[in-house]
Amino acid sequence: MRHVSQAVAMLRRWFGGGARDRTLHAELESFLEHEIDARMASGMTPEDARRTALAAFGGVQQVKEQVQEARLGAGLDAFVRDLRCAARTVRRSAGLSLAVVGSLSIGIAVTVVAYAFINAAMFRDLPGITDQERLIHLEIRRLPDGRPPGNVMSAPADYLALRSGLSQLVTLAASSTQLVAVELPEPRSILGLRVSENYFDVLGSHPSLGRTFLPEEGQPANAAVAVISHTLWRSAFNGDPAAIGRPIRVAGVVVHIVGVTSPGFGGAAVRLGRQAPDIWLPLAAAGLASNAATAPDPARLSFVARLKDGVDAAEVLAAARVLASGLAAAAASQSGSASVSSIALFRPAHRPTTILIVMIIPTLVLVIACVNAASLTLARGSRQRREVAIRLAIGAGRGRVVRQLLLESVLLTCVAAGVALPLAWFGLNAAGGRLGVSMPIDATVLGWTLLTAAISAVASGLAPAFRVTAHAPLRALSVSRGAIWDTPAELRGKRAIVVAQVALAIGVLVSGTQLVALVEGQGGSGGTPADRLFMASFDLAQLEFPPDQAGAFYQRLLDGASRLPGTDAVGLARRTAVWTFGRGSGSGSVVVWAPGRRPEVVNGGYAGGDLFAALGLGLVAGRTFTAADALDGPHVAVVNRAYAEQLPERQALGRTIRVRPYVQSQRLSDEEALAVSREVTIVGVIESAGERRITQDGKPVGKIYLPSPLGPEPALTLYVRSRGRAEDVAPSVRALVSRIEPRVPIVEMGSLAAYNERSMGPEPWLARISALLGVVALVLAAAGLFAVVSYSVTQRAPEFAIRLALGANPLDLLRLVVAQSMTTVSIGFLLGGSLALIVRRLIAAQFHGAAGIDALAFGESSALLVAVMLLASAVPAIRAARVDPVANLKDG
Amino acid sequence: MSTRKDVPSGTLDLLVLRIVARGPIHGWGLMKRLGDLTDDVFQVTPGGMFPALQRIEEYGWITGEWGLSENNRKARFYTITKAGRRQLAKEEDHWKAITLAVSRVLEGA
Repeated sequence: MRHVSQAVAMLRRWFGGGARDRTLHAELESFLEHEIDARMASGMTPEDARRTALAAFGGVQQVKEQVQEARLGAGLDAFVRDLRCAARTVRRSAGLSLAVVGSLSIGIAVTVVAYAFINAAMFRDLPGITDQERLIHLEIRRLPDGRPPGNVMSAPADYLALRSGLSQLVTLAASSTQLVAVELPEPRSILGLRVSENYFDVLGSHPSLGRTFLPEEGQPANAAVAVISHTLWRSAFNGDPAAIGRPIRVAGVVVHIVGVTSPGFGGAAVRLGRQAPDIWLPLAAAGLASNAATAPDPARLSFVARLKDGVDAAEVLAAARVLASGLAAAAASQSGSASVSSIALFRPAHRPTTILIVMIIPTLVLVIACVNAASLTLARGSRQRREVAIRLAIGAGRGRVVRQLLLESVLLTCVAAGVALPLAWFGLNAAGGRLGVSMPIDATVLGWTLLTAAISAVASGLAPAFRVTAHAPLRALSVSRGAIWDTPAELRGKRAIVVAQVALAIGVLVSGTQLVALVEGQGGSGGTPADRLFMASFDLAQLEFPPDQAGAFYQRLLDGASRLPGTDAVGLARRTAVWTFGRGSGSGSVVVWAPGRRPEVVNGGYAGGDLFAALGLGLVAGRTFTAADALDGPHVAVVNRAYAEQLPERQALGRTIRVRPYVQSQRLSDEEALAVSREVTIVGVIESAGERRITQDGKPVGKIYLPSPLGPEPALTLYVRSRGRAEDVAPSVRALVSRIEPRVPIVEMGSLAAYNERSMGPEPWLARISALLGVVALVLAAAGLFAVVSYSVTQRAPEFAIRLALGANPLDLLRLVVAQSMTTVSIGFLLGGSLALIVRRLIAAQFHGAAGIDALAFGESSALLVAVMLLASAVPAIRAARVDPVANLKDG
Repeated sequence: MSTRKDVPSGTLDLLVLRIVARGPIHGWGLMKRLGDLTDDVFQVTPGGMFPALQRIEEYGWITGEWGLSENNRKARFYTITKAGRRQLAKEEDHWKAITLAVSRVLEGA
């Protein structure tokens, strides 16, 4: 009962505090008047009565405070008062507070990003999938010689055998990835997944609109249906619910959209850095002839299955092995193997290690941030030390003072967390798009963030609070200031931390910029600037164009594009003819017999139109192609300098070589190969196009170009050298294509710069993150230096006062302080520079052709560091120079 | 005045409740009455009494109402509530038990 009335009283007071205070005031007034009346009644004059009454009363304000403290929940009032006081202190030393908030918010933001990543990648179900723990990837292999790896069994027959043969599974679904041409209505090429009709059921994925596939849609007759991704629905249909039931053309065949997936759903094969599919079609869908140019391994089916309750993956594995051996033995007397894996981004067994790796740098950053915040708080606390001493002297408990100082840290940490969360949110959104995994800040992440913030607040606030209150008030008030400050060892420790931070900052910054330079150096480049070369890729195989129709299309495209305004030169070649864009050397196009060399697969092939002019690759020797060369099959060739240098005596011009088209998985006998080959004469040598690959030798790769195709070329890329920005050509190229053949999709288009960016996947992004982390480390180091210099300047105020009194120039003091901090910075700089050199050696040892230390990048990073460090030490140094000698000598 | 004593801790609530229980009374009157009843033995200052009144009111044992005092001044009159009477009875019993016990010890020793 009493608790209830207490609670009611407290609520009443919170909401009516002002009114109660007014009542109390009036009541005390009334009390005083009664007292005066009584004194006057006993014969005092009004003046005497008032004076003595007031004296006896003992001060209205004091009584009020006593009453306020007696109120229920008075502790809360004290808390609010402390909070107000803390806010005042924080405001008063705005510079230091800002540095603390900056430091901590960076530390917290970095950890939040790491938490969100770990949470999304390991502890949440993949988007749109239910009960992920019961889902497995299943793979069976045929081992021709009894040993792994063998060949993956992924034919439709294998799928049927698995589906009916494994009783431990609820269901098993199959899927196959490929690029598909769709008309929405403008032709586009998007990543598609052909799936068995039970795919969505296996994953437990519900559509956000419409439905998923029905069992009868596993039959070819009913398979003209599609489910589209939420992203595609939003971008191509503006999120219009009427998209359901709408017919679209997929690879030339009309299919009807029956559903839209849930937001973020990317199927079961989500991998970091991999694009998510935008359309799902039944495996039975007709007309989706796949093509080697667009799908590296088109026929391959992947299997995903849901385990029955009470069954574990090991049981399925055992059964799958038996089944695989049976399947393998049925075809030939071979053995089979099977493997089962979790569909999670990281296998459960790898999680602890991954968490550890992911958390190392954020934890380090957070620790540094807390150390900085602690020294900043100490620097501020030492300015407050007298105030604290006075408070202690007049009877404030040490606990109360510590609590108040701690409250300042909590306040600053709260502000820092408030800054960090949006910061992390932006970072996660940007990163999520790149990594292909959405990383929401959910309740779990928020909880961890709060815990981190709480730990940071205590870590950065507790030690300074105890230090500031540690000395007896008498000493703090009377003894010379120097006596109660840091010992030289403590100061050295603080400087050592700054040295470490500077070293880390310059090391990470230089390594990061190196990585960026390295990764960007991998991009394709020619004489034409990357932002002025426009490229558009096509694949007519999806539409099953006959070869002559395909040839006619490309000829009209070439002619039309040459006449477009704003273009300098236009050429045609395979997508990987000039640059491989990370596809490696396996995608070569021509088999070449050159004198003195074994038959080899060389990249290049058909070079239509003014390809070399479009690319900006200059002629080194001989000539380029003429119109007459293209007639009646190729009989001449142009090679690049890299190829020419591989030939005997480095002599290419005039040599005759044999060429034939290279077809993957085609095995020909020597006679057969010779029969399809033809002789060509090298008539020209051009410059080599740049494309350093960190996984290959740094030298440019040899290329050979022919004036006309050796065989059918359904998939070609148009290269346009534009006069202005490459992207400006895009609309007219699109219009041109739809004039020539409206059904043809543009698989990919954009500037060479955009192609480079896309082809490199997450690498440039990771490199940029390292560089960004360098900037973060720099900011932290600056805050650390700022803290130490501020602290030492305050500590040395009496010394500076004496110097000034003895006639030192304020500028000398400035120089003194800055010079000292720059010594600290230089030590860190040297250490960090060495660190960067070591990292660079490691990179060079791992990857051929890695760029050397880029002097410009190193210089820029160093200049930035020095500028920031000068600023960080100059601000407190200026304060030192402004020391008032009289006030400080008196204090000391 | 060596005869004046501080109110034993914990008993002020009891004394206030007892006095208020006799009829509505304002703060000044309460303090005077306390002095009169104890022949000025108990010294209660406004700084001691008002916090006690505040606390007791928040417990819901007394309520305050503005009115006019005998010399025609505005004053806040306190009245005891039902809960206050129960509390008073409890504290009186408690006090009697304690004093009885203490005096027994003193007499017996």
